[in-house]
Amino acid sequence: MHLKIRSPESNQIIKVTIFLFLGLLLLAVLSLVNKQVVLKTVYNPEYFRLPDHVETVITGASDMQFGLNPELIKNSCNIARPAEDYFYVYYKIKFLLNSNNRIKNIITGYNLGGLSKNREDDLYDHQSAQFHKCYFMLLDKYGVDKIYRRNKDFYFFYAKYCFGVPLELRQELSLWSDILFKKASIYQYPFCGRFMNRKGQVARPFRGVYFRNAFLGKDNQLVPKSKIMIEYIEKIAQLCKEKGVNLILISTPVHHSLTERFPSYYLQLGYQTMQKLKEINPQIKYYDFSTYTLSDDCFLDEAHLNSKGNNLFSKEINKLL
Amino acid sequence: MSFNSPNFILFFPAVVFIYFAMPHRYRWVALLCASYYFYMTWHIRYIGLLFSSTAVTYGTALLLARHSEKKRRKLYLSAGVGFTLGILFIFKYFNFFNHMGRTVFRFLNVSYSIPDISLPLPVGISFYTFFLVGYLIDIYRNTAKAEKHFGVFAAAVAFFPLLLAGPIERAKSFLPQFFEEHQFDFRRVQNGVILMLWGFFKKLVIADRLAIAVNQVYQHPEQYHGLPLIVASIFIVFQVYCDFSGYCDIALGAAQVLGFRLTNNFNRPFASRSVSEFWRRWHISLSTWMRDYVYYPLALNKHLNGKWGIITATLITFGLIGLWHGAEWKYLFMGCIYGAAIAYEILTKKVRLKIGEKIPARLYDAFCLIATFCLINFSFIFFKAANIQQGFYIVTNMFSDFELRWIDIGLSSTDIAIALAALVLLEAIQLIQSRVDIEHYIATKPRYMRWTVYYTLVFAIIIFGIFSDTKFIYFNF
Repeated sequence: MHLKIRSPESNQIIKVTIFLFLGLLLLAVLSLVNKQVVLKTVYNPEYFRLPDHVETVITGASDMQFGLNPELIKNSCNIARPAEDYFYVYYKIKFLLNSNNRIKNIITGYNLGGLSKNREDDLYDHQSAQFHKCYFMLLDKYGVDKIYRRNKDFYFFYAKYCFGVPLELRQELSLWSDILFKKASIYQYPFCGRFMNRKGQVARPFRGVYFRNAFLGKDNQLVPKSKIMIEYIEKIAQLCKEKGVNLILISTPVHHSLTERFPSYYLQLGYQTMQKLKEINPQIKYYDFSTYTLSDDCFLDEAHLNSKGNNLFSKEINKLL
Repeated sequence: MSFNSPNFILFFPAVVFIYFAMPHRYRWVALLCASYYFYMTWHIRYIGLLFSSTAVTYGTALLLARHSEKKRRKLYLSAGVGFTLGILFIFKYFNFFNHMGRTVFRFLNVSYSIPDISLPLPVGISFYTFFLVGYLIDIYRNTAKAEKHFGVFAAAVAFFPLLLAGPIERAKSFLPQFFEEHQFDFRRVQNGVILMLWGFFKKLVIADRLAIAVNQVYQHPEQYHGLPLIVASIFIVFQVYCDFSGYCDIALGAAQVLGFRLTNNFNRPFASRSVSEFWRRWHISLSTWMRDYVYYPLALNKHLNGKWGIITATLITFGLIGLWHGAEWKYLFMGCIYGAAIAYEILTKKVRLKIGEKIPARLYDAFCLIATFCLINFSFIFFKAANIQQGFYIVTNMFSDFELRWIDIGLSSTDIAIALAALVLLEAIQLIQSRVDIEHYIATKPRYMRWTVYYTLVFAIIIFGIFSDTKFIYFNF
């Protein structure tokens, strides 16, 4: 009888293969469970319920997050998030309106910087990809293709949301369990921010950081408009019209050192875009407070209000609603 | 390409496969190509810089080895060290000294028109420069032999696991490893991979989680007072430790897979009972480099005598350690804090010993442990702050407007609990490791237990990790 004795090397190869196979099998099972159970529940609009009293939702970027105090605006909540551009605002509102029929008003920021090509570039930027990953699950195929085609930094999130790979599962897991036990709050959703009520001010004089970020390219030249951002703010207008919700666009007060420098090209672009939006949705209300006179101690920095500033401003907005 | 990018998951196994598939005598080619490719994924245009530093150092070392005349050797050493340090100076320190020059000239009312250099800092420049400088000094001192094989030397300088953030190896222990024939030893490879996973755990689960809170507070410290500033400042120490030691574990693990042994850069630094002990346990490769090439020559200098000579040498060494991190006043200040603390330790050694004798040993040890941690924490505030003014702002506002009300710092209570639990686990494992060889301990366990440990580690990283592809902090140096 001929006995075949395996060499130690082939034994090791077999062991490694079994180890990897079992690992992959475990990963596949976890991915399946994650996709079918956890993600399906967490991103089911049915469970994304605003508190009963809320009729007005504040979305947008940090200007809104720092600017509007929901306690001073009746029946409102502020879920704005830093650097939330129109591309993501659209998907967030769409998700929100799917299951919250009580909403009457959507307030979002209308700032000139939001229309610039720099914001569009952020969609494809490596660091922004990390910041914007929380919206990935809200995107439709058109939205996913739009950014994923040009930004492969989304591969982690593509793997996570499209295939259920349990990357950073911890976050969804606690939300999922809270949903099951009916303890979940909308603020637990990673794409929902919270109102920021900050005291104090940053050092003066302002160094023009916001202006550069908003309007200037790497060569210090004015950047052109963003077609995508304009496309998506128009989509927001259209969506609100279809859902019968009032869209209120607000330009928050900014420090005069910034308004003085607004490029005329962008002032004109802001005006033209607003005309177009009103054509799409004649119900849109627009309040321009960018030149609203507030003392220096109302500003956290050149583009954000502090607690004193947002107190005054929120009361003004409340009167208008 | 960073260690925590998905590209590395493809790159590293490919390199390992090619390395072991090649005959021993040509393996340096595989390592050199892989390392240069690895570096080029960061800075394609700076590859010439790496190559020229390597070539000049190689040539200088051969000249040093060939000549015995002291004057000539000194000249070669100065030229070689001057060239490599000159490159480092241009990229890292020129603007700093240019600003100082401008300020002085402005004060003297004299026009000054030398412009700043606006070039990004080549990744890892401080690490490979120190390796090269150490190599030249060793040859000058006749404590190492000049490497004749240029390819091997270039592969050692650019060795990808340690190219970006160290550890700063010594040529005399590192270069000979390139001539050893490394077999594909399954146990060694397995241990290397586990060490890499442990490094990923530290980086992705702890460091990047704490970084969320630290970055939120330190980006706008003006918006915070009291508790959030204290919490974020405590987190910094652990964030930096887990980030850097995580990187080092990955580097050591990757090198181990290929058959190389690198210097362990950390040895439970938070168990230190004095600042001098801390520096024997933290970034060991840098502190020993500074000790051998800066501190000893200064302390043994005939012009610096006695206790005060040692203190002067200590202050200069730690000032340079501070500046090694970057050309900023905050780093210099950080280095001076360490220097002053060690000077204090030297001056009060006898008094402290007497006090120590009167107090129960455990109590005294606990006091020293806490005092050291607080001082390290204080210095790390300046490490993380945008500048020295911001550092002082944070220090002075930590206890002002103090209220025990929690303010959102970007981390949920669950995330904080995960980070703290992981830190406890980390310290426990390190404590056990100081007494038992964990690798050996795990290896003696039945397979199902071993595999459970490995799977748990992998899935803990996947589920609890923060996949934000953030750079390792020490890549900035």
